[in-house]
Amino acid sequence: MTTALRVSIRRSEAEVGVATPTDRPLKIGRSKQCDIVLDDPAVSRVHAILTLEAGQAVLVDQQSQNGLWVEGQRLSRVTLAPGVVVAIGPYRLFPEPIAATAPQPAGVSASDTTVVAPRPRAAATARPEVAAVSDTRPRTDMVPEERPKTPPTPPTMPAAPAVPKIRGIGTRARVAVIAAAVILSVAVVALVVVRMWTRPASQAGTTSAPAAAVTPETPPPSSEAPTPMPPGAQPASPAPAAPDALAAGSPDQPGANPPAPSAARPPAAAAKDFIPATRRPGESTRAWQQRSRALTERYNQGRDALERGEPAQAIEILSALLAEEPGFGEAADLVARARAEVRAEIRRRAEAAFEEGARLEQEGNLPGALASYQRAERLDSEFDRPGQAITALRARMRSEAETIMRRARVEDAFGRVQAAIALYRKVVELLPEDDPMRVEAQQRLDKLQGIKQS
Amino acid sequence: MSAMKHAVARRRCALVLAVVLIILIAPVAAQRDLQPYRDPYERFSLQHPKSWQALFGVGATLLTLFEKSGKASIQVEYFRLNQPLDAERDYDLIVQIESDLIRERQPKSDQLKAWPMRADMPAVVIVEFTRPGLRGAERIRQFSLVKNADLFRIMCVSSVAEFARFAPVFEQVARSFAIATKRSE
Repeated sequence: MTTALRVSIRRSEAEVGVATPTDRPLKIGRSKQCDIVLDDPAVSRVHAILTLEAGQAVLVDQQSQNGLWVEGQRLSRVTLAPGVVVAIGPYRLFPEPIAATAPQPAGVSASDTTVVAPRPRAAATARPEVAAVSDTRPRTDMVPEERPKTPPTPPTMPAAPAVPKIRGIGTRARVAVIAAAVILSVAVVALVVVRMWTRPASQAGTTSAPAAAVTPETPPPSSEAPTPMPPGAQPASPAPAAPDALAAGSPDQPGANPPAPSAARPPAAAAKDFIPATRRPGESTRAWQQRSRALTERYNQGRDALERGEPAQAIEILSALLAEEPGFGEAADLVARARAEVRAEIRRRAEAAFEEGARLEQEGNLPGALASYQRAERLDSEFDRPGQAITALRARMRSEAETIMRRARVEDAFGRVQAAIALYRKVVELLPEDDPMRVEAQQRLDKLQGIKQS
Repeated sequence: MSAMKHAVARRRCALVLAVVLIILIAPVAAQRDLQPYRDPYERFSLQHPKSWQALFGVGATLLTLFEKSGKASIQVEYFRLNQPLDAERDYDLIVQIESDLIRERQPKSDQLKAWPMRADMPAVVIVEFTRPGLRGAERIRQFSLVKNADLFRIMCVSSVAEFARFAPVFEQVARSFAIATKRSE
């Protein structure tokens, strides 16, 4: 007995195998002894069993380390149905109705046996082992009457990409499939030729002939096929995630599984979605995944702050992150970049303050100039120009203060209070608080102001 | 007859020369004829022509000297400064301030000129200016002497026309001016 489902096994978007659930449980795992071999460290030796229960395909976790993941949740038992994508390590299992799939090789739908057939590999990373091993090794657990249907194949024989290996189908069937494919191809070519022959001359050369000719003639999808969906909007069967995201085990992708702790960290461009933290000893997968997610969120906040032009905030966020998780993502580099930006900004401000000081000094506003120079020095202690300017300015202020103080004393002595007050004020402005001359000026100023008020 | 004419002419010439000499020598003779004046409170001392009358003053005016014809006078004033000054160091500023004070207090003054202390006399600052007076324009030469917090001003006044004549007397009096050591301490 079989179900109307087939399970497409994919890795990085490339389909690496197909399985049809039967009453006989199929072992899925990394071990060569399994029916379906998924060779990856994130896959346990016997990871799960695919079987039929009450006519429904069921995937049962075999206490694997990384488990079965459906839409970000770890499940021990999954009832397969179209749209339910199960993640096993880097592999994704896509249950599909048999009628909705591409034309199957002859005998597949009729066969009551398990089919694990490789498809033409879409990517270089597709692993032939899944099909090859599953297909070629002797099936000791197979029902005896089924065994003759599986012709033994030498283990070293590579899987032919163009001719699917179908368990239970002989060489004749394969030849028949090839012949059917050839006939179909010839028919299509003939149709194209006919269309081009009958097309009005005015349309000649305006469209891509083969594509335009074939498309209308393409037979409509079977009534058993699911309702056509717009590209990219496949609620029943989520679009496969990008290879990088899948490699990183992005938990934000429906049905995605976090990668194994030993997985290499992804590049910065993909790191925005998920960056795995270093897994702590004894930390559960869920806890590790949650911690990684939280750290990634903070990492993104820091990076966003840096991109917004708020490097100080980025430093604060990312430094705290690094204190908690040293070496997380590119946080250290981002902090270094943010610090460089902060330093550059500080230098810009210091230079602006210095320029302001130079302008004020030129205008004769020496206290204002000194304040600006000091501000520049405080902003950037490595900026040496303010220090030099302050030294020169203080000397100038001291000299001017002495001149003014002398005049103030004489004005004061002659009882010219108004003039003396103005001059003493200038002295107070020019000299630092601890300067004795300033102290004297302040005392005289206080006295004269008292006299003036009285 | 001609001999008599010659004798008369010689006598007239001698008389003119005598008059001229008298006019020229008179101030010098007057200078020689000085008499000392000592402040009753021992604040200062000076010498003035015997023919001049001395009048003890009150308030800021310590002494007033009058030339007998009333064509010239000398007034000695005293002010206590708010704080002591170093006259040798601040003379340039004292020149400015004394000038400013004259402009402020006597707005109609003109032809003002001022110069600092001269080495051969105690005056720190000399300010000279002209102002309108009751009997025409007056020329004033003011000698300002500063010692610590004491400021003495010797105001020498005469008509503009007579100023050159009395100038040597003014200078003689100013040269003889001495601030009492006790006072300045």
